[in-house]
Amino acid sequence: MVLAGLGLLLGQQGAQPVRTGWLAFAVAIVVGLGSAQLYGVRWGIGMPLLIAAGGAGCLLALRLRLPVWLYLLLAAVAGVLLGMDSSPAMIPGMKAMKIYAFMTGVAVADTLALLLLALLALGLRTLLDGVVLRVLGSWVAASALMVLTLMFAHR
Amino acid sequence: MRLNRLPYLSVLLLALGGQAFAHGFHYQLDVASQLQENANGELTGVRMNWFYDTEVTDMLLEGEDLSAAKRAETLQTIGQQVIADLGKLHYFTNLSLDGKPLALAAATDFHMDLSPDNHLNLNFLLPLPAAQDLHGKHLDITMADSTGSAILIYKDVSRIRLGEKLAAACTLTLQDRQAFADGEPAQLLRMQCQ
Repeated sequence: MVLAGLGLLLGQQGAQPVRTGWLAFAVAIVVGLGSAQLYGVRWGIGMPLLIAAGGAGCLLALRLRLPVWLYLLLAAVAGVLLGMDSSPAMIPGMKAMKIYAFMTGVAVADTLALLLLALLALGLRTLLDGVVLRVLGSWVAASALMVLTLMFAHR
Repeated sequence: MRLNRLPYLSVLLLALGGQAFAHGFHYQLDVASQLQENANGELTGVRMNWFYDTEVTDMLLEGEDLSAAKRAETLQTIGQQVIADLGKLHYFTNLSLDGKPLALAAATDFHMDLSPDNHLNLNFLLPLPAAQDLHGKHLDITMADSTGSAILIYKDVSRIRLGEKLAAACTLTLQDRQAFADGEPAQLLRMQCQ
């Protein structure tokens, strides 16, 4: 959901935000993966991820012209959170090489998926005066909100 | 590339993409234990026998040389690495006697094997630094992976075997916990001794 919200948001903003936002995300996800591995801790970051997804979805639905710092910050936060959330399972006996290969795979797959979503949005940003992307944004925001609500309801 | 082709290309590539996340990855360890006793009927340690599921077995064996000539050596090397890593995680095992935690010494006498149906089987001994007299006391055994990935389960109470003297003096109860968070034990094994 974060990938969808952020990728579509970057694409909606234009070609330059796609380039810089994608780069920020790529660096951030490596930082997130490294942090999770370094400290060997599993943070409960489902909620911050959903909040980031909801934020991206809302911004997408509002179709505002965002300042550079805002989408870079969103890309960096989403990248770090996704990296931390995608850290490999700690299985005793697993060789370091396999763990690094998994982390590389996650980083490549996530950044590629983000890029593809951004390119998709870049092509769709003018379609029906941008309504398609705004509808997608509202779906992302609504989905994140529903899951957040369910998380609170189970407490 | 023309901009109006981007959506189609992106959808195609996204459809070809695979799952990338490990979040919430759990695996089950099917456990059998044998409580070791000395000639006086005192507890001296716990022999653990863990059976990995096929998914984790495949992950641990991926890229390893399992040819007939190297199989035993490879498995023992993996076992050695597993035991070394488990040492940092307290062997996923906690013992307490009348509520007081019992220290465990480093695992010894370990052996890793691979069953014909592709399940890794790790067997090792967890000795106690000093033998413990269990008369009139209760021993609790809980097993949990503090990183939250492994869930260690005794299928039933028959998976725990006692030495002759302990079997005569103690009764076992295995309690499944209805709800447990990541890193918490799924079961509580209690041994009450007369």
